[in-house]
Amino acid sequence: MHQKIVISLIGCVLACAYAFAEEPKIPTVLPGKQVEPVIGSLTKWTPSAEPLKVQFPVEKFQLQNGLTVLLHQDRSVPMISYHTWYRVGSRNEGPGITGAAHMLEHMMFKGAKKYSGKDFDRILHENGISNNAFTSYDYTGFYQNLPSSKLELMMDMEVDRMRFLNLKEEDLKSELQVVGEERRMRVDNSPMGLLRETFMGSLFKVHSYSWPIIGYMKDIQSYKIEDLKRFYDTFYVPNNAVLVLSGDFDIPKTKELVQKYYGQLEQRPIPPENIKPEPEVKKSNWLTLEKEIQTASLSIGWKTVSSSSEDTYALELAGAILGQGSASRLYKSLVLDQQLATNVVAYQMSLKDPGVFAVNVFLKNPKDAKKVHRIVLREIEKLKKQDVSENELIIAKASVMTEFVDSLTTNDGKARALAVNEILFSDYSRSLSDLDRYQNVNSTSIKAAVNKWLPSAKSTVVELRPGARK
Amino acid sequence: MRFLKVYLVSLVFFVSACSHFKKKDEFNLRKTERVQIGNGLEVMYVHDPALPRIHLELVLKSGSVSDPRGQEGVSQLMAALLESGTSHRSTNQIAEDLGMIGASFESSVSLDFARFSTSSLSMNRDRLLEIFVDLLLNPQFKNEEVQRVKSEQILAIKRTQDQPSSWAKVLTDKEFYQGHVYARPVRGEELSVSRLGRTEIQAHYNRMMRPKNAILVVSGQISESFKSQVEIAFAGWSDSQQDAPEVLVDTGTIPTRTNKQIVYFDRPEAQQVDIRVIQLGVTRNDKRFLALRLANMVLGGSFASRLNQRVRDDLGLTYGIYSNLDARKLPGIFDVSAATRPDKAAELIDETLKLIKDFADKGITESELAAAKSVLIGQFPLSIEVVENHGFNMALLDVYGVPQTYLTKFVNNVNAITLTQVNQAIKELVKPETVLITVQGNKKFLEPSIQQRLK
Repeated sequence: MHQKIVISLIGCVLACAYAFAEEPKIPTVLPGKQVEPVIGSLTKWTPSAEPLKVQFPVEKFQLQNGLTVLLHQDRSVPMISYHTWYRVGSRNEGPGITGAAHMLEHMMFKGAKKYSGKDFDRILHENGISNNAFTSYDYTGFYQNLPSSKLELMMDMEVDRMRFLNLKEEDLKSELQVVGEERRMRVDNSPMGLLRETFMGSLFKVHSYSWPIIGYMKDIQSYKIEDLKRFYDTFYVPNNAVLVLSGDFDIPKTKELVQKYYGQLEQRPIPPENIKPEPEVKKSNWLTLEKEIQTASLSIGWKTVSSSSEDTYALELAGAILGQGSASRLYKSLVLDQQLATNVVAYQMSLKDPGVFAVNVFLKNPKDAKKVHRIVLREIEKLKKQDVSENELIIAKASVMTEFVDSLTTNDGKARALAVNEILFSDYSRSLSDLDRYQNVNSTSIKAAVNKWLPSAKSTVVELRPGARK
Repeated sequence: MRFLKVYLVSLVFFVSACSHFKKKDEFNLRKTERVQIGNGLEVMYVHDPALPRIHLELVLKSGSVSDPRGQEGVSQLMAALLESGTSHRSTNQIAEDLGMIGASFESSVSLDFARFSTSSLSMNRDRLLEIFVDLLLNPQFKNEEVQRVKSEQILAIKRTQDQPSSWAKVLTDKEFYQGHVYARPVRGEELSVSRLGRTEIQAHYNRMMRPKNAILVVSGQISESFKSQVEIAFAGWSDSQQDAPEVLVDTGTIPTRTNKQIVYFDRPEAQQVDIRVIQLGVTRNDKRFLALRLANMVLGGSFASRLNQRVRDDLGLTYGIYSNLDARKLPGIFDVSAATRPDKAAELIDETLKLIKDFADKGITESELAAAKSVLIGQFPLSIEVVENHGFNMALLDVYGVPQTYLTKFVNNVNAITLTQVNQAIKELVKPETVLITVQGNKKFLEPSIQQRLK
């Protein structure tokens, strides 16, 4: 009937450990294990006459102060994608200082010892460097795209703010107004933003995932400089960071530069995390938000597993089969056949601690919320009882592979893929080896994971509907 | 997250391309080829052997501007219906066939052009090409699908109204362009869409989807035999309207503004005020375009811009303020936009107007120009790093009637611009005394404080 999937991948992952003993200028420790090319395992993606060749050589090493460095050379354009990620996010906050990790991310642009805030923006601009940052639940990342001739300058600037950030009251005063506006834009003045915030707040009761990454407005308005200083001193240390460079640079010279600039930083012990475990969900929960809007939306979800669990791969593919793209079950049912929705998306959100499986629906008519909820639960029940078809599995896995190859089209995409895996698992090579984990998912493992993690009687639902403002 | 992205977006849009450099700051373009096949279709090939991918894209040289009056939204509806049934495949079959090769079909309509694309791993190229041609050339526009997609488009219009910033943009364009075609949102209006049926959509398809009105861009790993396959597959596309007139719509006129005006879009429940300062810009093929891009970079095109440094960094009035030079086939706009809390709206407008006036009066400095050039040149490779962006940018230059040297000599072109040229362009374009200011929020609260401050 259908053409069999023809995806096979001969990947060449060269996780070259850095032989620092030969270059005493770069006294690294923990040289990183030599990872064999994963060519063999990836061919399991299917038999094909035309193997897929992807070159993705990476060198990993660690400085004595614990900074992990990943280098991927790609000289196709004269630029470097420069990523500095820290293992700190809203997970490390507590009640009363929600959003502090994000606030600190903003303050990282307000100046350090050598480069003031104004100098920082101006110098990057004058040197043709673009620059931004993000904060998530589990980590914070800073990144630049620079002409390759500017590498040393960039290192000097990043090291300055990694070690000598100058946190000033007057900067905080104006920046918390900026962040207040960011919150209004993303949440308070955005119905969908409010839905997302309420959804996570309903799913989690005590875990730090229960509050928004940007924080509550009352907390944003009352940060103290000491709170941020404490965050900075605790988490912005080399042994809590991963540096990833992808692009046009000379590897030996770059290693020397990394040692010269980052080698001077001191490591500090990272305190153990104090993350509270979530209580077990006992029953379903339905929350309704009414706003002055015209269209309704529904989010249905469950707390599931950590991204380090094997079940996460089965849940991700279950999400794709259920609600990703026009070939998915819920799209066919809700959008095409019954025409109760204009779009539907189902996905597993992978996090360091319990993730979330969510189904988001754009309803055509607010009155259909209960009906749509029933249909979603019915489709999930089907996944628990019946095998998914071979074609459904092929489609879901093909989209994983396409997404992976697409992520390799830019230096920034490659750097992100490496950074996120190194940050979460201390293993960048999972960006490739994860493909095997997806490949190993079958109808049995999907059934088992859906049965285990998506109990119909314990769903959390948030409905956003037109109505009076509350 | 900080806002940026602004100048990157415009880069990707207007700049174009190259790769595989030799020395620092010297670029060689990827290998490109172009041919015209018998039916008049232009085909561009952009070669990139680095990854096993193939990307197919058809760019139409007309967009929603060509929607007949009273049928606003028909281009968008037609585009959305291309994956809803062909003479060979049902909607479900299309989804399944694309899914099996890890592909999807993307369509988007802009004011001046429309684009349809798909991509896959190169091993699936034959199948991808066959499906792509089927979707583009054999749509059925069945009544039941038309009704479904129409109702989705109307809901999408309502969803836009639920998003304050997106809706403010729609209302601002409408206010600024009045009876001109650029006043019309791409999706159309609820009323105009509700009137559309199969007949209008089919007629519009016949007008728009013609080989002479299109550019096909093939990018990625391309073999000689695949080129032949592509040309054979599209050779069968006949121009059913060969003798019919080109896509022509009365564009209307852009109103002339003689003084500064403030217009309020009342949204009493808004927690944040959307503010836009807007004036007429230029066409994309205007000789001053690159000089104005550099000027825009200084005013509000980056973190280090005058607007961002003052209004965000010093005063903490907003999360993001930026200026935007939106050049089009017909004169586009030059605008500044930002959002702030209601009690700071007057101050934000006042500060913004002061900066625009200073910019208009004094122009920019030599060092500001040098920095702007450095960003434009330094970030240039990103706009073509992904092969399909390179191809799309080439096609877009054709759409706008801009020579390909804009991209092949980009670095030289930027370096050649002088301070006098930039400041002359600013003087000619920027007219602070005749701007339109739009304010979306609680009018009752906002109007008195804004009038007071701007006296």
